[in-house]
Amino acid sequence: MAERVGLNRILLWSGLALAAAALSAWQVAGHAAAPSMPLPPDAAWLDGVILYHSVLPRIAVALVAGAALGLSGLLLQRVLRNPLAEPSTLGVSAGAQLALTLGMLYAPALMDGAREGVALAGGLAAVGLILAMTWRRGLEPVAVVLAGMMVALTATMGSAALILANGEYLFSIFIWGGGALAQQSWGPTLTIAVRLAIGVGAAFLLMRPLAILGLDDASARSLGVALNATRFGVIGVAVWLAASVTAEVGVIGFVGLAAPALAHLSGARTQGQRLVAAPLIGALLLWLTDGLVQLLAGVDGERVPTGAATALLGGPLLLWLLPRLRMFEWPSLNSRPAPSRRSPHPHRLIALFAVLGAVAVGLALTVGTGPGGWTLSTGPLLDTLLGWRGPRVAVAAAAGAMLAAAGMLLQRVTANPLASPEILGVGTGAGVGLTAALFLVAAPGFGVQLAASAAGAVLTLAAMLALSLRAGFGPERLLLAGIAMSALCSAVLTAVIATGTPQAFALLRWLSGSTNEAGPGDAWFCAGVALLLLATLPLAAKWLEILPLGDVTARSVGLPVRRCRALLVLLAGLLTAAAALFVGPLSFIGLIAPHLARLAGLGRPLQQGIGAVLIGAGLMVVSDWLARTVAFPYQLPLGLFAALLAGPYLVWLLGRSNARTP
Amino acid sequence: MTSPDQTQPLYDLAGVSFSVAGRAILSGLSLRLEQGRIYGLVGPNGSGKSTLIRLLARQQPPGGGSIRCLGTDLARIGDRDFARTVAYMPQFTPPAEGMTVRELVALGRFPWHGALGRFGAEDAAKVAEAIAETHLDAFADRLVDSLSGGERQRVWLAMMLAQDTRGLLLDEPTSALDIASQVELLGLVRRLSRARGIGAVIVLHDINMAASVCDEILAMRNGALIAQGTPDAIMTGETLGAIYRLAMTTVPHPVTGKPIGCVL
Repeated sequence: MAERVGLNRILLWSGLALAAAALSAWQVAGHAAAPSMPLPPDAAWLDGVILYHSVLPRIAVALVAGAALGLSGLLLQRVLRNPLAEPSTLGVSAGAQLALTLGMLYAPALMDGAREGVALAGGLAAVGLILAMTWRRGLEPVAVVLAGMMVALTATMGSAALILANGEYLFSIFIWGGGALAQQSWGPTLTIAVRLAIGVGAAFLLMRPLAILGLDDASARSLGVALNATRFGVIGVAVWLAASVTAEVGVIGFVGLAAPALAHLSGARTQGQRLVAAPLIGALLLWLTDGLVQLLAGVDGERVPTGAATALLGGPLLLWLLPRLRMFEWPSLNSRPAPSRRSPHPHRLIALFAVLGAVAVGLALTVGTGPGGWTLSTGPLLDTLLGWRGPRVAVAAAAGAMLAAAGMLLQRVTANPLASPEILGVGTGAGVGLTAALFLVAAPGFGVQLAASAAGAVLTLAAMLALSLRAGFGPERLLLAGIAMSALCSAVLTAVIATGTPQAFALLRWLSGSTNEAGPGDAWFCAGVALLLLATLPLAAKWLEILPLGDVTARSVGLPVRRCRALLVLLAGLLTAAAALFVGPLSFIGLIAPHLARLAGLGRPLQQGIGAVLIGAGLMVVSDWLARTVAFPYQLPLGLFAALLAGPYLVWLLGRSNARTP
Repeated sequence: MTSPDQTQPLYDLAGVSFSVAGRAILSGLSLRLEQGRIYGLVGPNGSGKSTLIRLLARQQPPGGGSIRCLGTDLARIGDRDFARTVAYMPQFTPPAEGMTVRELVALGRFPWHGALGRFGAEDAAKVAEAIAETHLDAFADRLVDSLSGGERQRVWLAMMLAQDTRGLLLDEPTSALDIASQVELLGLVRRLSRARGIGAVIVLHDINMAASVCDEILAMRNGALIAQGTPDAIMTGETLGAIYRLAMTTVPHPVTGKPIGCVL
C-alpha cells in the first residue's frame, strides 16, 4: 500500500514535470523549428537570438527562482515552527518591493549598483518589524502571520500610494510587482543561482541545529543549541534568498509556502529529504505556472504576471491544506482572555464617544492646510469649503460606522476576537466583485457596483464560514483561512491591475482607498445605506448576545443557529461592501473599533455596537483628515492612514495577552 | 408542548443508533426515562455516554431509530419549544467573555420571549428565582469570567433553571471541580429536581457520586446499555466489574451503610 502511494506520488510529480517540459519544449520549438521551414536566414538568426537570450533564460530563471523560494520557505517554516511562514506571508516581498519603489523614486543612482542590497534592506526591515511585534508572544504562528499581513498590506499600500502619486511613470513597477519572468539575458538567472547554491550549502551545514529547532524552545536549549544565533542566522539566509528573487523578478507568492508543504505531503520525512525535495518542487511549480501563463498569453502578449498566477493557484491550495496541516501546539490566542471591564455608566461612555466623534467632524470640516500653513476656516470661507469637505467627511463617517458594525457582527458571530472584515478577506472579496462589474458591464452604474461588491463580499464570507464550521477548525485556522482568502483575492486584483487598462487604474485607486471624489450624491447615498443597515442591528441584539457562547449553547436555548448566522453574515457582507466601495478594503477600522468599545467597558451587544459605530466613524474621519492634510497639496490614501492608526493597536493586542518568553 | 402530559415519559428511545465514519458509537439503544427522576449515566471512556446525552439534547440527529420527548418525535419539535422542554449543559461550557452572571442567566429566558419579544416581569422573576436558588445573589453583577470553576458551573445551572424546563441534561458537570464543589453542585441539582419535580440525566465518572445522587443508574459499555437499576441494584462487585472490566467489590459506608464501590 505504502509503496503504491509512493509510486503514485512519483508518477504525479513526473507527470507535472513532463507537462512543464512539454510547455517549455513548445516555446523552444516555436523559435528553434525555424531551420526546417522556408524562412529567410536572418529571420532564423533572429529566432536564434530570441531563443538564446529570452526563451531559455526565462525557463532557467523560473527554475532557480522557484527553487530559491522553496528553500527560503522551508527554512522559515522550520525555524519559526510555522507551517504558513513564507516570504510573502512574512512581508519580505512587500517590504523589498516598497524599498525598491522608494529607491527608484528618490535614489535612482543607487538602484543601478545596489538593487539587491535595497531589496534585502526592505525585506529584512519587514521581517525585523514582524519579529519585534510578535517576540513577546514567542513568535506564535497566528500572531506572526497576522503581523506579517499587516506589514505586507501597509507596505503594499505605501507602494500603491507612491505609484499613484507619480502616475504612469511608475506603472511598470506595479507590473513588475506582480512578478514578471520575461528575461533579456542570463544575468538574473546567474545571480539567483549563485545565491541558491550558497543557501543550499548553508542549509546543509545547519541541518542538525535546524532539526532541533523544530522542537520547542526548552528542548532545543537543553540540547545545547545556541537558540537565537541559529534562528537569526537561518532567517537571514532565507530572507536573502527571497529578497534577491524579489529584486530580480518581483514578488512571487505561495511557491515558498506550497513547496515545503507539498514536499511533506509527498512523503519527505527527514530534514535532509525535505531540503532536497522542497527546492525541487518549488522549481517545478514555478516552471509549470510560467509555462501555463505563456500558453494562455498566446500571441498578443502577456496579460497576467506569473507572480499573480502563482497566487491564483496557491490560494486555493492553502485553503485545501489548512484542515490537513498538523499545527505545532501553541497556546490558543484566546485561551485565557484578560477579564474585561464593564462600565457602570455605559450611557455616559456612549455620550462621550458621540462628543468625540462630533469634535472629529468639526476638526475635519474647519481645519485644513493651505500654502500658508494651517488654517482655521470660519464664516463665508467655511461655507464654500463645506461644499467640498462636507461630502467626504460624511462618506468617511458612514463608511467607518459600517465597517465597525460589520466587525462587531463578525467578532460575535464567529466568537473570534480577531475576526474582522479586513482579516477575513471580505473587503478584498468585495473588490473582486467590483472587478467583475467593471469588466462585465460597460460603464456600470452605482447600483451595479454596489450589488457586485456586495455579492463578492457575501460569497467570500459564506465560504469562510463554511470552512470554519468544519470539525476541528478552531479560531486560529479561521484567521489563517481568511488571510489565504485575502491573498487570493488580492492576487486577482493584482492580476487585473497589471493589465494597465483604464479599469485597472480605477481599481488601483479603489485599492488604496480615497474619498477625494466624493460628491453630495455619494454622501447622501452612503449615509442612507449606513442608516438603513445600521437600523437593523437592534433587532439582532439578542442573537448577538447568545452566538458568542457557541453553537451548542445557542441551540440549547432554542436559537435557530443556521438561519441567524446566515442573516447576520448577509448583513455584515452588505455593510462591508457598501463601506469598501468608498474607502477601499484595507482599513482595519472594522477590527479595532469593536475592541475599543469593549475595552472602554461597553459589553452588551447593543451598547458595544453603538460605541463601535461612533468610534469607527470618528477614526475614519480623522484618518481622512490626516490623508488630506499631512502631505498637502498631495492627497494620500485614506486606507493607509486608517491602517497606520490601527496597526499599533493590533501590535499591542497581540502582545497583551499570553505573553510568553521565547 | 407547553402543557406537558404528566403520563408521558420524558424520553422514549427505540432502537437508537449512531455512528461516525462507519464506526458504531451507539447501537440499537432502547430506553424509557420517566419524568421527575434523576438518572446517572455511567460507563468507561468511549462507551457512548456523551454521544447519548448529545442526542437527547438534540445537538446531533440520531443515525437511526427514534427519540420521543414527552410523546413527540424529537425532529418534529420547534427549536424554541424544545428549549422550553429540556435544558442542556455541555461538558465544556464556553467562556462567557464580558458577560455578567445576571445577563448569562437571563439568556435562559430566550426560548420564552424570543428574539424580538419583551423581557417581561415574569422573565425577570424567573431569573431572580434561579439566581436565588443557586445561591448566586452575591455574584449577580460580577463578570462570569471572574468566578471560580464551581461558581461558574452554578451560573450555568442557574441559566438552565431560568429556562424553566421539564428536564435537565448535564454532561459531566463536575469533571473540573474539587470534591466540595462536586458535592455542592450535585446536591443542588438533586434538591431543585425534587422541589420543581423535573427530571435530570447526568453523565458522571464517579460511580459512588452517581449512586449517592441519582434515583437510577444507567451503565453503558461499547455503545450499549449493559445495566440499569437503582443504586442498590447496581452497586455490587459483579455488576461494577462487568461495567468497568475490573475486579471490583463494594464495602458499606461507615455512616449510612450504603455500598461503596472500590477496585480490588
